[in-house]
Amino acid sequence: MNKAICFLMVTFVLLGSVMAANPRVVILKLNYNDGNITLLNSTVKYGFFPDRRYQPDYGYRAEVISFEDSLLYEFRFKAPNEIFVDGTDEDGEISGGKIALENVNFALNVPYYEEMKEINIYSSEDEIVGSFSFEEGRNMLIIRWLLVGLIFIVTIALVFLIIVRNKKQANS
Amino acid sequence: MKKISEHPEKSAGFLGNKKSTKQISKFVRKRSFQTRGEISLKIVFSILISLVVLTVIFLSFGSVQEVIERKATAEIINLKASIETRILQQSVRPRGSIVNVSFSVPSSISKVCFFDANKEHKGFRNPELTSIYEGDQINNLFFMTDSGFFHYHIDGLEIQEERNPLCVNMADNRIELKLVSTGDGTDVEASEAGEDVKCVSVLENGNPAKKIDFVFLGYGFEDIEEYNNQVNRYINNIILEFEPFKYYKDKFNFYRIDDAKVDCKISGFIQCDQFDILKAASDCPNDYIFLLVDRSVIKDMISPVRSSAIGKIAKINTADKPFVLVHELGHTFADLADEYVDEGYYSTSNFDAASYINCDSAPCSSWQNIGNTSCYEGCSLKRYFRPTKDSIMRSLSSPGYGPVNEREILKRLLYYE
Repeated sequence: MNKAICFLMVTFVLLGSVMAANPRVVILKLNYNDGNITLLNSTVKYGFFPDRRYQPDYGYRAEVISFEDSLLYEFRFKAPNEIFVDGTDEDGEISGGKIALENVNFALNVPYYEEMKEINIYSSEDEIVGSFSFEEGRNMLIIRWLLVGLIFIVTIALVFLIIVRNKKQANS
Repeated sequence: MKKISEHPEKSAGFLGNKKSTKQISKFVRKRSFQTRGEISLKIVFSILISLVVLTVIFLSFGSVQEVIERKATAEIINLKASIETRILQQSVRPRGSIVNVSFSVPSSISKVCFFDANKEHKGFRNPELTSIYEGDQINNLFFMTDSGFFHYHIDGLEIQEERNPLCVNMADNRIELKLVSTGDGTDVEASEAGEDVKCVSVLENGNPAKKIDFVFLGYGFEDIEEYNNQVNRYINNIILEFEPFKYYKDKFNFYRIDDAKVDCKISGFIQCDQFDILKAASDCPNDYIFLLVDRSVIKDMISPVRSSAIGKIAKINTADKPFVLVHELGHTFADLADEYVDEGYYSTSNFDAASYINCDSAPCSSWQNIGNTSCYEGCSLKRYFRPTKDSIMRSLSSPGYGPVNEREILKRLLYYE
């Protein structure tokens, strides 16, 4: 009986730890079109995002906002439509240059927060150029915690039943 | 009638007299000596030249061998550093914490062995390994190569008795381990079959949150060994041999991902879906990303492809000169502009020198306080100026970034430990 109780408690703790924060990242597939940014696709997976210890002083800015409208994460990034293209000849001489594309797909990765509501992107003039909702995340969050609660209740109920059964057996 | 030999003057075309005969004889003897001398000289020269050529070939072979050995040694040292870093990191985590890790292993290593002298053990089956261990009884990490064992000591390494010593075979230039924190150290075991660890650690110097993390992805490689060789070449022979990265090499971690599913179009320059790139790269710590595109030199001569940099991603044509990676790193890491001039490209790109630390208008006041700089005409566009006559941002044959560019790189390096 003790083993069964221990097993159930350990199971619950493990489940809880799994549902606790494992590093996850949101990867956004975006389109830049003449200054405006739209979301094409996104995915959430276990993984890493950049440290971004150094950030440019100017450029685009991305904010991750919570359901309580607090700032969870923000960072700056340079224009996503500029590409340096370099080619070399036999003597190691380089030619090429910078191409500024008017319409280009690009991607960003940001840390995932269970309470994230939306990601906003601002231009260097601080005008909002893109906003993407993660409202379905709120529903997932609720479902997740309901599941945790359910497992907790079931575990307690099972332990209680085992204890009661054992007492009855002992009395009989 | 006398024979010609009796009348050498006739055969020599002289009218016969005694003096002439002597002269002719002398001439013929001299010519004979000269001819013999010439022949001898030619032979001597040929031998000398052959000797020189052979010596050059021998020395070159020796140098190439030395380079190969140095490269192999660097990769072995990187592996030891990465394992040591991971074990130390895991040792300070809560007891029972588990992490599966994959390490890049050079082709020269066939097996990696771990040994815990503080636990009961079965003993090594390999007599050489036994002899090495019994010789010093300190080292606990062993790399098996064709030429013998490399052995090191790593603090905090533990092996459970039933697996002690533990030997792991190399496959696809990697080994996969499971590290479990014991509270005092780290227990090491081979990863279970099916544990697919996508991120391969090539050189780890510390916590990714405090280091600059470079991750390599491959496109077009048919052979994992060739991909691994290219990754190691760029790390050990290019990045870590180029200042200031060489001096600050402890600030970097390097990783690779072996089967990145990236969709690319190779035509003129390399166009890839950034979403795919980030999805793949996010399996590893990824402050900066290198996508290596495998191309042969011949194919590239027929249809050249340009390397490129966008955001934090550098896309490298492996057929290009290898230091093109350092040039692209200048764009991605330090936001440096090109210092060569290409009016064709730049005249249509709204290039503004004010956005770049290494291009300026005359009289170049941006770097007037930095030594060893001047104001040289030409920086992306002819109307702008650059701080040094030459740098890697202008020519791949240049040995450095130059003081202005190095200063900018250093400024960013110092954000990391």
